[in-house]
Amino acid sequence: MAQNTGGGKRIRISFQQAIGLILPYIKSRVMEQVRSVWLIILYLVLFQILVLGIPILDASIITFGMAMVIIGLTFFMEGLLLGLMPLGELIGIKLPQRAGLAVILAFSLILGFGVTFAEPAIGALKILGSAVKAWDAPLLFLLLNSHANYLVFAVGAGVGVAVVFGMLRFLYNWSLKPFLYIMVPLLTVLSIWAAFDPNLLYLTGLAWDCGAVTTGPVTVPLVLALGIGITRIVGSSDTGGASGFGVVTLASLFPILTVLLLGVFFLKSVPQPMEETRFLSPDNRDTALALFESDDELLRYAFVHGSREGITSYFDSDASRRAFVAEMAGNGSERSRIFGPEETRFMSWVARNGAVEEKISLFGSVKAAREYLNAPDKPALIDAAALFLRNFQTAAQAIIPLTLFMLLVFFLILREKLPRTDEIAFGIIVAVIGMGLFNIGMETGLSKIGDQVGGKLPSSFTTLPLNEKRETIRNFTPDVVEKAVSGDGGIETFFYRKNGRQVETIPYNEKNYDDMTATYTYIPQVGPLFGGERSFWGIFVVLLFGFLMGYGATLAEPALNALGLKVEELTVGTFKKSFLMQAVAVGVGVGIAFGVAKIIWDIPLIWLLAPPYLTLMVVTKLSSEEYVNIGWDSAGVTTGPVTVPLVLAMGLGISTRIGAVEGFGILAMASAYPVLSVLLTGLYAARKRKKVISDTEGSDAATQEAVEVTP
Amino acid sequence: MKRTICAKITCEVYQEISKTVAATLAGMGIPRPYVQSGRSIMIGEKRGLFFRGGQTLVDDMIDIYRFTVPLEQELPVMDRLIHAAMLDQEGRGSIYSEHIELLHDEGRSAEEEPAVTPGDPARHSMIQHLTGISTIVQRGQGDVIVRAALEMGICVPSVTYGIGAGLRDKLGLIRITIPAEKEIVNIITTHHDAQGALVRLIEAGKLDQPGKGFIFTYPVARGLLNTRLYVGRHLSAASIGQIVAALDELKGSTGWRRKFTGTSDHTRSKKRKYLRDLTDVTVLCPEGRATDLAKVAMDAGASGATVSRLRQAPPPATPQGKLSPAREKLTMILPSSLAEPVAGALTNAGLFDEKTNGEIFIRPCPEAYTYTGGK
Repeated sequence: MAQNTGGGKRIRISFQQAIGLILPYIKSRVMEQVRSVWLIILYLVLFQILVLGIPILDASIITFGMAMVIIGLTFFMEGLLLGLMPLGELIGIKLPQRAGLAVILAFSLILGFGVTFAEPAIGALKILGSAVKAWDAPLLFLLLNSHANYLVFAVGAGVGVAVVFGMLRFLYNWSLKPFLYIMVPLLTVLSIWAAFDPNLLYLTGLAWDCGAVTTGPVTVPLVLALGIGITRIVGSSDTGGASGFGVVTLASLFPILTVLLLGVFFLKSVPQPMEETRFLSPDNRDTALALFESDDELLRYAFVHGSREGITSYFDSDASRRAFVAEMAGNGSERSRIFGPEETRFMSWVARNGAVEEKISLFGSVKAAREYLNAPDKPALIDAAALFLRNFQTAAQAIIPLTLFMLLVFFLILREKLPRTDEIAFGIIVAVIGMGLFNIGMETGLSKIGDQVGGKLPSSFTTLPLNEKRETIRNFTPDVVEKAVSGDGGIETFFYRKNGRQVETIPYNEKNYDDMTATYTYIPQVGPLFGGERSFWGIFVVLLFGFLMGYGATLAEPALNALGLKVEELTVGTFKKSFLMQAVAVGVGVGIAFGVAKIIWDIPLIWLLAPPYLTLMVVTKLSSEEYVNIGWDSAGVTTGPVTVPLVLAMGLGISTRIGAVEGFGILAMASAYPVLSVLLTGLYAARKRKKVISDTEGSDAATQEAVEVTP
Repeated sequence: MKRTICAKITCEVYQEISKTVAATLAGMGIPRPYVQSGRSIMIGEKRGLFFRGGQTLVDDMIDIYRFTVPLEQELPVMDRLIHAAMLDQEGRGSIYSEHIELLHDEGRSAEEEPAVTPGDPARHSMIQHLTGISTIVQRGQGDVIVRAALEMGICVPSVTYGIGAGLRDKLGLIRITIPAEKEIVNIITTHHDAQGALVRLIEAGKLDQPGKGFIFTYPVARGLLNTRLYVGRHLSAASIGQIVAALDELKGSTGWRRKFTGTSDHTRSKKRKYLRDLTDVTVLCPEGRATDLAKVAMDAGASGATVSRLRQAPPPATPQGKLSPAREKLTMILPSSLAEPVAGALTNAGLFDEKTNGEIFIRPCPEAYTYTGGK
């Protein structure tokens, strides 16, 4: 038999020869990743230093993190190309040959459902949702907190159904276009309808973002490879060279639908958005408790997120609140039972907002309360072991169960021998290592600087306190405070401080003066850097920042790189990877700029989503099937592990500063525009091609001839 | 195993015309051609903002149809295709035929043989005595060869992708450090220009240096080639390509546009050591088998092979799951003396059994060149 002949003589090579092969190989792979991430790294660093004029905190840790990002991406991409993608493609090729329709569909459903649990993308949305207040958007709050499991299930079901439809498409050679014509208008109408209910309105952002986020760096290459394999067997030749795409698109659209439906399902059980005081008041207790597991949790939430009035309203009266605080002061075990790890948040709430008696009852004296607040934050030491363990656990969780499942299917259902076992095994191991290192790098490097820049970004158009530069001036007396007339005729107070040989002016705010300790807490401020409060140029800089960040981060996305490689290979180099990435990156940049605008001006998401999607319906109609598949898929792919944390940091920074209810929707915007940019460039290229063919006056006559010949 | 001499026809067309070709072939009783995706390249105008008037390469996807017909059907079939796909118009595609030896399963049923319906008398004249030149280089290096071919004004090159099999597969896991992806550039030129073109391509691709690539020629019986080398504005009533095509048709040959007068002898004085008297053995087999078969061939003496992916509709009678439309092509250039032993070894390895349903194309390869080491 052919299987066991040949290849017996393995060539041994010396250590030196091996090094001679390995070093250039490593160098070329690392350089490839350096080329893809240098832009976003340099951009963030320069933006913070030169534009915002703020030095980078923890620069050495961040540098370490960025090195980890590059090494991690190198490993991960190699693992994808050697292990995960060949495995996916093998299964794709064998599945239609060895298994019936039912098995294929069951496999797809499990795969789609499984990947949602494996990839912790939803965690990112929860972070963004942490700023959502229960009383502002009850439904959103419910789905992000106590009902988060349902949310994951809904998304998983959406992805599962999407993969099933994706496979059916391949098996029966259906076009992607009808799916788009049905799904997109349906989702648009549903979102517009949802805009009339205050609860659902806030949910639409989350729903569209879920669609964008679910398709992560492991799912996409795997599903893509699977599709490519299947279409090699069942595809017809007239779908063009680049068939096998389209599943990612469906996997970004269906979860939007399932999440919106989930919202409608729970709509009845949540209260309408209302004032904080009304929400927390005892009259509203039953309704409010629908959002929380227990009364204690509501109480805890009130102390962590509520204002003084809100908490007073919870206790109905100032007196009963004081009684509660006094009880907590006396009973340490009860306190830790209710507040648990958030005990410090309770303490600092009392120290900051509590009445004098409350402070005394809890801390002994007002001075002690002050000191509790002013105690410098303990420098958060990075626990290296825990960091490694946690990130490698996430990586293993994302990759190993999935590959085990696929291997099981391969051996048990398809009953095939795995070719190049060593390569595939090596690839999977390298992918896990790569993803672990990459996660560490993101956490300690890119996300960190993203947080810093994102947090400070609003200083471009508004004033921003620099809390980390807070200093306490001792022996302060209000006698030194001076008055000055400001430009618009108001009176402002300030005082002089001698700092070495220089004298500087510091604005005075009575709130920051503590007469008991005779200290003044000075929090320096920056901004607005460009013109006045909310000036055109200030906001312009923020939008420009969003564009460039989206552009740079997209180029570093591993899943998009994998997609680009596959597209280039399937089109035999006609559709270059770099070309696709540029088109997508510009689209993402534009989308993110619009997303930022949404937050700054609080535009309902649907007004920003409907126009591009409606345009897309027309452009999709005009484009060839091939471009439609590639274009829509690249949109689903774009929002990956590099873009999402950076966008979230920026979104969170701006929305907390501006006081927006929720900062969702940027990711959804970042998915809409790349489709447009890819399809438009595709149309441009096709127009040139068509011209050459029509120059020869061929198409019509040739088709006629074909018809004539066929019978 | 059955041996026949037959005509292998290759038809390369832009994807927009692909359906026409498929329908025409099916109408003629050739329902199962091998189809491969490729890329064709033209020179285009670069309309840069700062650098006006430059040249750039314009890529387009093509479908390459390959099928064999009995020798007597060669002309009518080609004629019919040219007419249907209007290949006599420049800028639509190329068609050419080679006379090869086909080895296939003896038990292949009669209804699987293409039952070609006789065509009309020939309407289109084709150029005869052509030479094909194939260059196999590392993935990403193809454009160097393509540019050189276009600048010589020979024809529109077509590029396909392949994967190298050979020494690399015997190295163990460290093989992953050696890139196996290849790019195969194929051009068809007139017989008298072949030698000059060969030299030019060797120089362009620096093929006389180790690890750069492999180039070989093969005889082409006749063909009609796409001469639209340039895409852009036309300022005259006919493009130069149209004029060339018209003159070719009038003269019935391309001798009038010989390019390398005398140059070939001059360059030969460099004493490049060409490999001669070789045979191209091309094996067609189902997806996943090519690597195994390459090992078999290498044990029988072959030194390396290139694997490409193709599609071929399975015969309608085959039960679902028996034969897959995903096929692979394994190309090996061997010393002619090795062709028989390799074919024999492949037969023993089960190439012609029912499950594999393989085929072997054997064609001569008069000249080849690669770095062979030493001075």
